[in-house]
Amino acid sequence: MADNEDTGAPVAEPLDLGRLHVSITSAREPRHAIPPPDRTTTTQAYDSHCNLVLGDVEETIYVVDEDDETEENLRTIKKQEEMLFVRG
Amino acid sequence: MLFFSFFKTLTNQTVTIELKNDIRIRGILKSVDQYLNIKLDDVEVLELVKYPHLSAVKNMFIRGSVVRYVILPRSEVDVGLLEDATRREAANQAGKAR
Repeated sequence: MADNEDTGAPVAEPLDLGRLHVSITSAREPRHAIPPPDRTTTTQAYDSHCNLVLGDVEETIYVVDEDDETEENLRTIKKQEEMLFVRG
Repeated sequence: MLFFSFFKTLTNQTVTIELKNDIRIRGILKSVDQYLNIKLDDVEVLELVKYPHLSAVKNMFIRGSVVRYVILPRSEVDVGLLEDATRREAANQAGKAR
């Protein structure tokens, strides 16, 4: 396998991308979300189970309301947290 | 082991836990184990009107696998230390796989 000590660059496994991402702001959001372009979430920590700690999180939840006319309304709920652990 | 150690540093802090069934619980983090099972004291269930059966609950043991999020007090998290620990853990994992 390629040499990937703390600073050695090559990405040999998918999770190595995470190492490059720690404390670089990324557009990763916890649940079904399209990140608004002006907001960024920071990955503070991750492990091999994809448990994460994220900073400056905005979660967007998409809810589809169905009324009797089979009309579908898309509604979004936004929640903001300063720091969040996400179970992998 | 990274998050196990991390949560141990947060014991006796107030955290909010969101479960996979959408229930949100605030309480004092009393202990954690290797599976990230969590013991909470002084429990307060948010949106209690929806979950009246939980109104009498004072402390809880939460199985780690039912946790969706843990909302952490930012002021109690040493971000630099956490990032360093993450890099070390990643380097360790890479070393094992070799």
